[in-house]
Amino acid sequence: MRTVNLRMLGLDSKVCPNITVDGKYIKGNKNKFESYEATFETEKDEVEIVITRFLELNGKLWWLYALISFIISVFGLFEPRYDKKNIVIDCKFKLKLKDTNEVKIKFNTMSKEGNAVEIETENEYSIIENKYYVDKKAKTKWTILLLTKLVLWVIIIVLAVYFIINKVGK
Amino acid sequence: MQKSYITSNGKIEFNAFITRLGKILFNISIVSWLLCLSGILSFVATAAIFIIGFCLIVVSFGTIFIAIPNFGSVFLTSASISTQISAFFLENIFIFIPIALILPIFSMVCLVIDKQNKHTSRIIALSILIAIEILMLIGLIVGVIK
Repeated sequence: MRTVNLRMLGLDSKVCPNITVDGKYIKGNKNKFESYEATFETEKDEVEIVITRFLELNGKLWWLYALISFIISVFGLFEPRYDKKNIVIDCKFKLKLKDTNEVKIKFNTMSKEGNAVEIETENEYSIIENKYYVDKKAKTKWTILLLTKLVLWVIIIVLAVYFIINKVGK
Repeated sequence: MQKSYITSNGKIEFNAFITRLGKILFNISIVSWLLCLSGILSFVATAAIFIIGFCLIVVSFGTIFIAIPNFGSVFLTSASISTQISAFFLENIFIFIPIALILPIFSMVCLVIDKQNKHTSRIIALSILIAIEILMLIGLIVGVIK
């Protein structure tokens, strides 16, 4: 059984990545040095590590959750904003394992393009993909959501004014 | 075409929604608590109006009286409306306080079950809010607050 220790640096609440090892999600814990650590065990000689960033607007039921949120938050008044930048991480690399495996993953500052992470390890590895990019689909959904909200707000304001005028008139 | 490895995992999506719900309820909790407080402490709303009015006079170097000649009377009318609003909340305080108490509890549950992010500051704020609201409710039941 081989143990792999992953150390993730430069993470903040905005980045919040999802890490999978051979398709299995792994959970990181914050250590006293403000970095995150995750450990996993495997019998394999090589593992595939994938780092992604989930956007709320990338989900299958994004429209349903957005609608429920809009209603509960009193027509968006108390709603936290959706991520406007829609930057996602596309990072995938293969790692050849030894008896002891220490991998340091440094996250770069989020940007519209460029390398997402820097990997430091004594193991042999091959990067398949490593970049930050703007998710165009999520960006379109964000625009659709904003326009829908604007239309709804106009309708709500018109209706409110109509009812107030009617009430005052009586 | 950009190749993406993103897995739209239903669990992650639902978790993000629950967190969003927790944040919405947190925001509403703060406002509902302020409304309850303005009902009990009617002078809070009136004082807030006076402070805002005073700031407007200072910031505009008194020119606000030129722009709005009846600024003084507008000011006093707003204060009297705030007293009426306070009276409304005070009359229905036994409806508003339980609502204001349930919201932060739901919000806290939503934020605590989020495994991806920690919401320590929000949870602490909610705990304080719940404690204050329980004290307010006890005060009303016992009759300390009238």
